[in-house]
Amino acid sequence: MNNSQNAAVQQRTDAGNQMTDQPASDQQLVSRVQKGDRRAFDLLVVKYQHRILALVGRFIADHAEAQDVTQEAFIKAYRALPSFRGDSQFYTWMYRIAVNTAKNHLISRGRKTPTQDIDLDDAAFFADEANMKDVDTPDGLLQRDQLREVVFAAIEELPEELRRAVTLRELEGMSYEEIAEAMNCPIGTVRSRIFRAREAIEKKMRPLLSATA
Amino acid sequence: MKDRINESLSALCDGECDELELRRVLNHVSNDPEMRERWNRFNLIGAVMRDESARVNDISHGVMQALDGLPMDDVSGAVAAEQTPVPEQSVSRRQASDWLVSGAVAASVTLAVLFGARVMNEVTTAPSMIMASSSPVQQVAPVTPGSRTEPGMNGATGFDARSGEAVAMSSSSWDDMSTEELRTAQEALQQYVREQDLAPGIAPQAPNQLTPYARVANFGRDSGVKE
Repeated sequence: MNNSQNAAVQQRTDAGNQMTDQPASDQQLVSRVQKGDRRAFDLLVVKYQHRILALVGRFIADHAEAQDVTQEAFIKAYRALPSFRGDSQFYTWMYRIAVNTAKNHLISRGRKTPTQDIDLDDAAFFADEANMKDVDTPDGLLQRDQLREVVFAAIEELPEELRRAVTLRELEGMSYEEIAEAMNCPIGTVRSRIFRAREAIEKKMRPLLSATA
Repeated sequence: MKDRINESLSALCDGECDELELRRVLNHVSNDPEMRERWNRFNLIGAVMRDESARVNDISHGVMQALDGLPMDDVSGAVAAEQTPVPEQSVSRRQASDWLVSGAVAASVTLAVLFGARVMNEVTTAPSMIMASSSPVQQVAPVTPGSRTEPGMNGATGFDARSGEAVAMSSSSWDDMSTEELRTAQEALQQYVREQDLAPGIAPQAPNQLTPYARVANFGRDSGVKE
């Protein structure tokens, strides 16, 4: 990558980092949705569906019911998006809607809601096994375990620089700029390495996901 | 070219793409289902690595189908409701208030019936007024220019909001009765009230008490004089 490309990447990254409280991609997508671009909301749903489903699963044990409530939460979020001002992160806002939708669902069914609320940070990053494993179907458990095996096996096979870049991004939550500093390479290289890492992992996942779809 | 757009997709996962790239990605995603799947898999990789949730279920299709034709709200009412879950106590309070409202409605209907019966009784005690007009209801409760009427509620006679259901009831009951039938009914009614007043175990009642009027309200149906 030449200097002008690096400068362009740097410019983009700086623009993205201006909104430090909000993941830039979310803010961008939310803005697009508020302008009436439903495709952007689709990407938000795809991005957060796993996390929200796991969160709702903490309130509602039945998996099919949890899926319905998750879907309902996203629909409510979509309808309410014009009122979202971006004071909080999209996920934080979505989290509240999902929790309240789940609670209201339980109340409407005459069931008790959990006495303790789930901590937001915990909800965002918890390991859901303890809560979801017992209620998942054997097929679901198998798929999940297989997927995990495939992903971690693929990460192991990655060249060192790709593995490090994707790990710093996904596990440490570092920005491209921070990773570039840590790895002592240009931001454009970081961007490319993370993409190539994902692409390699995704290739390994594809047969499994298409088989379960 | 495809690699470039996929790299932009990857950068979007991390919030590291600019507005122009976002537009390009959105355009491609809408035309290329494979790209949408890739976006899902890219996000799933992160979820698996963080041990968040490795569920492979994709509910986004269901959500987007449900959103077809569904407008976004212009007001924040929907989310305001969502941001405050309905507490269990307020549900029971709501049930209690529902019960009270039901009771109040029932009481109002009863009062309206009693009031209507009273109006009907006034009509029966003034037969000359009724006979003098082909539309006795209008004589009893004339619709003044200042009164609020709702056309269509009661045909040609109209519906007087002040006298309410009483007018409507008397109208439907009395219009169909001939003068002779009215007189017969009136005599039967008076006889009935006298019998009730003199019946053993029942205290004599003043003419203006409500109980006889309540019976008058059912008179036509009970006696078989006019259905």
